[in-house]
Amino acid sequence: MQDIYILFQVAGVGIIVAIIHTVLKQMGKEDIAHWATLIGFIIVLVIVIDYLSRLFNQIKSVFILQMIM
Amino acid sequence: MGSILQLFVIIMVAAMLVVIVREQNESISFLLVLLLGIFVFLFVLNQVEQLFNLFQSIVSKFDVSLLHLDTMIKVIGVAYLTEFISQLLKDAQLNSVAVKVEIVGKLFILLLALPIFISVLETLMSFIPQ
Repeated sequence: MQDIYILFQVAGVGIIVAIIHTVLKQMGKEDIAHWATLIGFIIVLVIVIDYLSRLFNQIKSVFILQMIM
Repeated sequence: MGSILQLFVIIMVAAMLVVIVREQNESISFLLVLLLGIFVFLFVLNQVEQLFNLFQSIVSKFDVSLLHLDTMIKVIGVAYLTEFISQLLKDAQLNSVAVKVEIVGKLFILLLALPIFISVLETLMSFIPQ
């Protein structure tokens, strides 16, 4: 059940990063805004890659793909 | 993760989240879709594992000679994974890469199924009188 929170967290990060981006753009600091978006993207990427590796390990065990993959 | 209804509810909620996030920025919405795909796949994997355990127990208990059960399971796994990844690439508007992934998947399945072809050919050849 705790997986749903991950989805909400990722969506929250996406929205917050977008807001930060627009606020920084209004303040005139365009480049910092792009950096903020990039950092937000990296955070979400780390979370997703963690789940992706967990998924691939489970696939290897379920489908007996050890010696091939 | 409970019953299938729970899964459908999670998918609907996540779909709404994706719609919201897609307005703001495209890249994180794609990661959200990927995460959703991973959750669905993980949920299915639990069910599929029980299925394969059942097959294995049947094979061992009633010594039914399912010759190539392992290869079949591997082929199903590779096919399912290839489909998962190519659909994701299509979702990210990378159709050309998706087609390549499908080709690679098919080739890999062909490699996996090669021993079966060989055994079938051998049995056929044995019928033909020399």
